[in-house]
Amino acid sequence: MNFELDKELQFLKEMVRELVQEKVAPRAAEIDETDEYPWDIKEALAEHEILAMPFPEEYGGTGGKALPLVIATEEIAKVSCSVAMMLTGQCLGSAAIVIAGTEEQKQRFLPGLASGEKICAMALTEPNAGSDVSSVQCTAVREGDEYVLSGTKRFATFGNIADILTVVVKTVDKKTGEKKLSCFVVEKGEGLVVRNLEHKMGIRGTPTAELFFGNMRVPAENLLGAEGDGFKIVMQVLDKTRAEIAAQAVGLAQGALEYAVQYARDRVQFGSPIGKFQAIQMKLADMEMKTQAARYLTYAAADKYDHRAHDRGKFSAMAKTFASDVALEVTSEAIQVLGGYGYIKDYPVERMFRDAKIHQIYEGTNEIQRIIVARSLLGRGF
Amino acid sequence: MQIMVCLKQILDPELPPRDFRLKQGEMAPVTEGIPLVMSSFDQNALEVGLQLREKMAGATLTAVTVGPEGASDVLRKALAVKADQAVRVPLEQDCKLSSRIVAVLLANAARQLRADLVLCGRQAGDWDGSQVGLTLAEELGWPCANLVTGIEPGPGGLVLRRELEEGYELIEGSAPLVAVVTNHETNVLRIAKVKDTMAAMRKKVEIFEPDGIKADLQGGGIELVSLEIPVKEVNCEIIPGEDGREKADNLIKRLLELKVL
Repeated sequence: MNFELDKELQFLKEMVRELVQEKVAPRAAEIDETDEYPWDIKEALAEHEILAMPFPEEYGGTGGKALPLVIATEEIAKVSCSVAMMLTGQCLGSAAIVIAGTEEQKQRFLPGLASGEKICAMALTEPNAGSDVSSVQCTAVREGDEYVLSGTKRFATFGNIADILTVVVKTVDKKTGEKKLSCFVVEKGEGLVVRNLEHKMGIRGTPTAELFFGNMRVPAENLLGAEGDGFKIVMQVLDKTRAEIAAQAVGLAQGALEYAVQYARDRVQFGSPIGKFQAIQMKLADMEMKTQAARYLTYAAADKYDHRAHDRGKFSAMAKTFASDVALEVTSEAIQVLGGYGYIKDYPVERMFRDAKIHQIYEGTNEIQRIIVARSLLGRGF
Repeated sequence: MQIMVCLKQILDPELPPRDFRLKQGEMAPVTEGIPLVMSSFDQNALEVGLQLREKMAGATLTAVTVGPEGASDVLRKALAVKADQAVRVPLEQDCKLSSRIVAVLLANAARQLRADLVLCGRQAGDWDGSQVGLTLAEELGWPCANLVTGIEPGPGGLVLRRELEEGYELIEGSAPLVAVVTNHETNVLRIAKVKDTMAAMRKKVEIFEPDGIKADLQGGGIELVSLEIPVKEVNCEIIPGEDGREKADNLIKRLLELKVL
């Protein structure tokens, strides 16, 4: 067993770091401040094939493996979690196609996404369906060669700018009235209305949209899998993308830790750098231990996904939960190390702290993740 | 045209001074656990080579380094930005390895590759020797253009842009030629793409054995006789005073006491 990244992944990490330092670092604070989607950075991520990472090579991607994805995501999130979300969003919005799409569907949708020419998003959450996926109320009714989609989706990250959406709805059998959770690929067009953009405390610059499907007609060939496959597809998608959310959290923790360490070296109080005080040393040591532990759990989750391990779902839940808790704690402690300076926007740890909170919530709340982990221990009867 | 670019792996110049240490009893820095990178002016040379290759159909670019196996990392980086091939001349690297030995080894590699144009960085980012490019040209018996920032194909061969104190000049040259490259906004090394970065690890690095060359040259050229980290002592004294005038008077008195004035 070897806990070191192999050379190929180390190289990837360095390459992403270089790109992020040049293109993202100078814009990170501004993206947060303006809350505007950074189209220039999207172009840079596309040009350097970062946005191609979630996709298999045969569809123009770089391979689609989870481990390189989490390494790249972590490296970007160290500097800007909003920009890391651009990669995660591309993965989340397309994962259902990669996992459940037919060859024709993959050929049709994936190359445009892998090149970064098109943006995608997933529309799952609704006003009355969040953690409880099965209570989705959006419907799709078959009419000839089409389905008619109706209903409202909330919290669709990049939903307003996406060219392609994967949408989870209930298909309704006209005769029996039976409703089944199903998943569709929807191209933006007539019948899809962006109703509202949320004002968020963190990950600003990643627009979060409320979408309204007003009897939108979608070709029947856009159904992913069969009617009723929706729940299974969503669970598989989240098994993959939760490791990326964990990687964002690890990146945030690492970024905040590095900033705090540098500050502790430079900041002088009582005639000494504050890093010489044990009170600060204890904090930094705890931050490092927890961040490293979160990182290895995240890498393990990604590796298990790549190897189709039977417990990959449990590991992605554990990694996401642990890493997000660590991110909130470490970014909070980084603010404490910086004192008053940590609380003002001139220093990045304030932004990192705000960015960290969402990780305990999205891609399934940490409470739901803990239930997944507990049931893996106790069995399905619990 | 066969373009050869010489690359050196050095300690990361961004390394904080507190992390720079010398090996006990040796005139060499500790490299264990320290990030190693491609020397910055060599990055400029590589970018100049890549841009020239893109403008010359059929041109190929070979990245060459002299050093231990770990030095292959700079070659992988060159392959990641699409150098056509990479060559390492294996030699245990220490700072006693004189610039002349390196120049001779690189000259041999240039002959072996049948290079038409050799590009070097202006100076290594670690010891700032500025020796290899010129010595290499001398060793090959080729003309050498210094402080080059860009090269274009021209009617007579190549047009080289040289930086001057108050502007630049364009000079014509023809292969074979050595060009020593300096930094400019037009030759910042491009950032690789994901696929090329990962593919670079799977590409082969050729090995050119130095066979006996080091022994022949030992003792020649410049010899390093001493290497120490300077000890800096900083004492801070706050000059008292109610206002600027009084502080200035006190400062002058203190400087006189210290015999600075």
